[in-house]
Amino acid sequence: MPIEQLEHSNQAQDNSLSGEIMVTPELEMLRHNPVIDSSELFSARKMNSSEYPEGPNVKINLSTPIESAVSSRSDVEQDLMAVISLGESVALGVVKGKDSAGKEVSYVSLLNNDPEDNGGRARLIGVLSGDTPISIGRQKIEQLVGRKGCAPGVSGEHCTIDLKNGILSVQDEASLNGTTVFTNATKNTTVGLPNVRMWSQPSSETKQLLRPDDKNSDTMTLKTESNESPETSELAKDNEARYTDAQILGKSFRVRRAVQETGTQSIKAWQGLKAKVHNTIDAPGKIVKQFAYNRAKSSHERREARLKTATNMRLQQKRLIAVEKAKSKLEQRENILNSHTGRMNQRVSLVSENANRRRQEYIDDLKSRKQTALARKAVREQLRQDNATRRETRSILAEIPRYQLDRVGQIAILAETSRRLSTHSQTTESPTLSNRPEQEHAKNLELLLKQVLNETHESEDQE
Amino acid sequence: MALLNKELLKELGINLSDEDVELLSEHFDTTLRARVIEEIVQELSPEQASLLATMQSASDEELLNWLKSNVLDFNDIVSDEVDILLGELAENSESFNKG
Repeated sequence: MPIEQLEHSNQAQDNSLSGEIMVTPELEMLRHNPVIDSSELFSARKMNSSEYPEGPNVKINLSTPIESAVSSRSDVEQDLMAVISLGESVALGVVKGKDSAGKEVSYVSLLNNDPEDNGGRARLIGVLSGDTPISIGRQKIEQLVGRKGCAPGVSGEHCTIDLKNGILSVQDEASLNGTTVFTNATKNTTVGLPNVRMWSQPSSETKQLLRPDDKNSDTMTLKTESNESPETSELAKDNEARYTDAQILGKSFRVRRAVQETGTQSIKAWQGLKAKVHNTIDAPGKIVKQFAYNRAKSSHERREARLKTATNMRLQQKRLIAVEKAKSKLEQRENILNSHTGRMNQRVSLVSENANRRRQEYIDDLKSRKQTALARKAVREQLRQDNATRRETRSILAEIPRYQLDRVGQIAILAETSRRLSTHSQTTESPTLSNRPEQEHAKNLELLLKQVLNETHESEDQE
Repeated sequence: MALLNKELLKELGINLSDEDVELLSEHFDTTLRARVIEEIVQELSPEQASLLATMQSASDEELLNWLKSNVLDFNDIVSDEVDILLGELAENSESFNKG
């Protein structure tokens, strides 16, 4: 390996170990690799439009992969064909998946600088089908990741990607920081990217993309999502949680749709599971950061103690600088640790926040339905008011035994119950949750029962 | 199967013991039945009421078919009463959680 490349490789490894950045070292490695051809598409805003009437763009024949991600446990082969850099912190991978039957699918994946995001693995943006180009912009990325500010340097409408007959087309739309496309310039050499796996999707997901039906439905799902506008942060949080539900359960969008169709309690259970799994994945990272913090703290304390023992001014000044340096490092480590711990805690709190919000939505929906029903009932009542035959009807009905009338009501309710149950599957899928003693609830229940009973008595008195 | 069950109550954030759920469900059904009957009765003409009085030996299916064909807006009436009662329960669920 050339010395320059080795240096960059070491630098990348150091950066990965620090746990702070992920994409930047990969891009640096690609930029300095002699095998890699980089096409710099300057910012559309900076380009002279008369010189490039269609805007800065490039068309590249993707013949040789940058690197192959082959899993010995799967019959799906995945090749990283190109990397598209959107600034220094966000990049897209163009990956070709191929199964043993020779079926192929190409998709675009997203990688950012946060190693905690999606467990350090690229997120799927969409399938390159040849007839629908994929547009990339800051909002779309933030929506996909579920967090504002996760795409620094990416413009609102950054670029458009298309792949037709093996020709990759990348057009810089109106980006501020430009777009760079990295491809393999050779015919039969791969680059030796150590982290190629993180650019690709799990084999199970790629297998799903290889099935025509799923591919279409997934693409449709992604398109629909891109059209949604998660303006509020709450919605963005919820989107993140709902998206990761699907990821935890095999990144299946069908599972995600099922999640949306089931009740609040099911979603809460699944989100709780998701939070637990993510926090378990994050636990070693927290231990490492805690350890780094403890080391920085003891280093700071040691240096402070040494400062107190300094005998002359020069030594004192020298040790003071060392203390300041250690203090700065300690603060840095503390921030990293707090951020990590905060993220883990937030996952747990998000589960109950989301459940409460959905419960409130359900309650509001029932209240709204009640108002509509009352309005309809009032209209019926109004129509009946002038009906002179009502008294006569009542006198006839008085002869009907009560049990027969009860039967009428029971049959009507049964018919309505079966209609509702057939259209609402949510009540059948809720998981079993532990019951806690509810003495206060029992008291409230009593009050509620009294209230409803009073209403019933009042209506009977009126009769 | 009861319209009001433990799962629906959980969806509303109300956690009750099995006995309390049964009690509430029973009361819910009784109240709903009374309200539905009240509404249906008001929709019947004297002729329809007389006919209903003669149908005491009819099967459930026959009775339901008769109600559907003789009571104007039968489905709406029942559905509205269910919605009203569920709405009342939803409103009370907030006091459950405050308590």
